Amino acid sequence: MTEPRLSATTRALLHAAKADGPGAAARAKVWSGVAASVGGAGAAGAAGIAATTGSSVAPGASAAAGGAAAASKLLTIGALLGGTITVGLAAALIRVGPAPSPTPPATSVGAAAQVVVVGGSPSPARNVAPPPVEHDDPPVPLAPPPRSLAPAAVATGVAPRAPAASRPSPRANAAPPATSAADTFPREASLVAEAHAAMMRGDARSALRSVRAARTLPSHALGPEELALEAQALRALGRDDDARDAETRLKKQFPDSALAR
Amino acid sequence: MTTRGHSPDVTSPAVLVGPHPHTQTRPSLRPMELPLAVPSAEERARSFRALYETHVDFVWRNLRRLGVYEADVDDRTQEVFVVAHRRFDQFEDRGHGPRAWLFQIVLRVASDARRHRRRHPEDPDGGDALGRASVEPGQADALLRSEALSRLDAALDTIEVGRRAVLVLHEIEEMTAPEIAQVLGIPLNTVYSRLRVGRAELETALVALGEGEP
Repeated sequence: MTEPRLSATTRALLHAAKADGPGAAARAKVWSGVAASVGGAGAAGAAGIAATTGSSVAPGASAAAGGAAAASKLLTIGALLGGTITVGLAAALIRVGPAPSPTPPATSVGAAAQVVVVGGSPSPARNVAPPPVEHDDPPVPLAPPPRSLAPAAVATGVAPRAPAASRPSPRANAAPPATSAADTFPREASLVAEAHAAMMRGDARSALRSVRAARTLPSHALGPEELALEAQALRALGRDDDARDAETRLKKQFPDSALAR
Repeated sequence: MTTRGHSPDVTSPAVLVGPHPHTQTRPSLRPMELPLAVPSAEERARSFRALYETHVDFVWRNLRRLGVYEADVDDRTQEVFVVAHRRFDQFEDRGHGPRAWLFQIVLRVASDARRHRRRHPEDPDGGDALGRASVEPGQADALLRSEALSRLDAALDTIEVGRRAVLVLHEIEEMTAPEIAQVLGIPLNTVYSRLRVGRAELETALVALGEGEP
């Protein structure tokens, strides 16, 4: 494909276009919007990640409907109904990943949330206790869970105040040891969103609590965003040395991330 | 997600990320070296993140070259990757890596964006002035480059989108004619003819804009 030849000026223009692309802030902003859209996090999550790079909130991200928000809403409805929605609702409320297929999806983490109202027995794979969460302070629940919902069964709603092992129950004893990354990604995105919202209202302590809770989950899809938020919160709390440590970890663990630049 | 001709673990990051932009090397997959274990959800999430990091520039600049305004391009880039995520399990690598697949999504999203702008004209210059205004005083080179690219986009805007896609894929993304034929699903001879006409139209348009060589 050589004829007709392009002029030197045109070739120079086209060559310049080869290096065209979004800036670091735009890359981070767009990614946060993608994560919020596909992962079920609310718009605040997108804003939080964008804010860590000094960029503005992604306009498109604000339109993203959060599956986690829908989950919290239905959980609240469940509480009002006095427990008519059973444990199975929480387990099936946010179904991460596409419809069942013979082979697993390429990225089930963060896939569009599907609301499926299911009563009855919980899914064993999801009715599991998350790993113990180490908090500076106890986490603040997003919404009170229905009485019939074991804390461990709420994949995206509420972080347990204590490991499930401290609340003996037959189901807890029978639960598998760990929740998968796919199950906890909406929770991770929700916590990152909470962290950003807390930073926006100047509550660095709550932001730190949320982001550290996120980092205890099996899912680490938003690892760079979490470390960036942690550094931001620590700096706001005057813990500059710790903030620098977080920034160093961010650069070391995610050297290619726009947030590390 | 499936492949044809072989059954590698196509969800491995190396395959999903694909060849480096501007290189035409294809991933060499030797079945004996492939992991047998099904990747975990987290591995897949990381693969998608890697796909994003590797190809976001490709998506972003091709949306610009295909007529998406500066003010819209971030949102439209986001839209492309949301669609890509939704269809991730349907992705078939036909030997050209994710760029070919992503470009097909880019074409549709860009078409929607142009149609939307025609129906809802808000910013006559597409936000370019706003974008340029955000360039800091010390970034004169970046400003000049941005303006030059704006003129390139203005010239490309005069070219019919089918020819423009061929021109962009060959002259900027350095795809070969057979690859372009595959990506766009058109005969090879059509690629050549579109490229020939597109080049001539680009030169004419740039001269008209005072950018090219008469």
